[in-house]
Amino acid sequence: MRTPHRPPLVFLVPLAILIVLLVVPLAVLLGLAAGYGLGAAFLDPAFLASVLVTFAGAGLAAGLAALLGTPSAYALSRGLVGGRLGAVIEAVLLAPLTVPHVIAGIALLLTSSPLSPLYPFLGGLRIVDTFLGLTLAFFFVSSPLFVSGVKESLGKMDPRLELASRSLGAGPGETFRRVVVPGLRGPILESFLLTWARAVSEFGSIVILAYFLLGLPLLGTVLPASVFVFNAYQVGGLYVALGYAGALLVFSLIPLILLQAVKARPWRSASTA
Amino acid sequence: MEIRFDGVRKRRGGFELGPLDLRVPPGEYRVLVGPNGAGKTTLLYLVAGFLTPDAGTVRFDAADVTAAPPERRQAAFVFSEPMLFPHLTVAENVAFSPRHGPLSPEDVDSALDLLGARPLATLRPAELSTGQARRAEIARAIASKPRILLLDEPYASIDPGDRQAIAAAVKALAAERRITVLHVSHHDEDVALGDAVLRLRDGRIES
Repeated sequence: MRTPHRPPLVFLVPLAILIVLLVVPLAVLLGLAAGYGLGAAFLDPAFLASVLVTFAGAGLAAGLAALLGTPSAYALSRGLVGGRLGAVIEAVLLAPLTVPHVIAGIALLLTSSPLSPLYPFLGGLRIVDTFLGLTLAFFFVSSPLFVSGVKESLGKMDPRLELASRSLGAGPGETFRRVVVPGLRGPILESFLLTWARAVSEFGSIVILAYFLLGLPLLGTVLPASVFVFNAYQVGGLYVALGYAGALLVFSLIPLILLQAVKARPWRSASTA
Repeated sequence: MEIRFDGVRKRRGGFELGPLDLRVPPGEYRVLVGPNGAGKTTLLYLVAGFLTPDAGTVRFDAADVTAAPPERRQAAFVFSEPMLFPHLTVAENVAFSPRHGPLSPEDVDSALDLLGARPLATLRPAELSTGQARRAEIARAIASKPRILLLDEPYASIDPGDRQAIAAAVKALAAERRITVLHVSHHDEDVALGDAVLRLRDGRIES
């Protein structure tokens, strides 16, 4: 809803402060990076490989989050796992949002290590310094965003649509597939993009679990993008890292731009009406 | 199909329906009336299988369906607000039911014709008026070839002209196909639609 009058300053001032606090540091970075190798970073094959691997791993992690998270969010939203157990499961699923991501990396590292009681089963799983490990770390830290986003949208979707479907002869699985998922396509896509964006920005867990990605076909040894920038900073200093940091900032805006485009789609409002 | 309740009870929050003993003969159009909170919608939900009773049995003909899920009951439900699937066109909504296999376009057209809704076939629910949505929703219910039709205040918020036309069409269809109808209403004029009337108050049958 738009008002013909100018909004009061009591709202505009906090908004302006928020924008300054969030945007100014990034704008400063981008402005300075332009003079310190931003253009060269976009042409650096090692950096582009790191961006490619990071976006691919983050995309896979977001896809896995969608595959597992949509039915999980539905089960929680519709009370299929009821009572206290449902509340506990929801808290567990959201826990990675509050766990420091370095700890998430250590936890994932330990799970398949000889120290783990699960080593006899997971010991063969190569997750240290591999694309699989990178994807798992991305999934661990970002999938809760997907579950909470879709669950919130399910809360706005009238459950009587599902009852209508059941009364027309569709079972619970068919109702989920033909009524719930299509009705949620907007929120699912938005949550996917948000999860993807969050995974791309991950650093804490992958610096533990997947600092280097070894033996990737065609790419050889690659650093995940955020680690690449960190490594450039560690080895070459601020001025070497600046160009890469600016370029990664530009790349990381892609999912957010796509997200805004999806939000502007007209079918979004009808899907959860 | 006969609907039969034997000693059915259902508690929802502080409200309790029953114990109810009820028999609705096959093909009968019965109108349920009663004040708010009388238990009319709860009764419909028990017939539809959206709720299971705390005690008692629900039978369709001789079959005990007390624990049967909604999709096994052949009881189509029409809610008080239109519940068309928003991502589908009217025709796709009408063709939705998987109960008797895929519906041919001719079947869809004929279901729409019964409710005078053929011109709406390509529209999305968001483009329909309440009356149009109601026609489409009832066409969808009829296309699923139900043995029982459950109407929960289906003509609320529809203008009187539409209301009379839709009600007459549904009544004629139900009679022709011997569909047993339970119709919850707050409107006195709907009582005339019924072969019989069931009055509920405080979860019990008054008459």
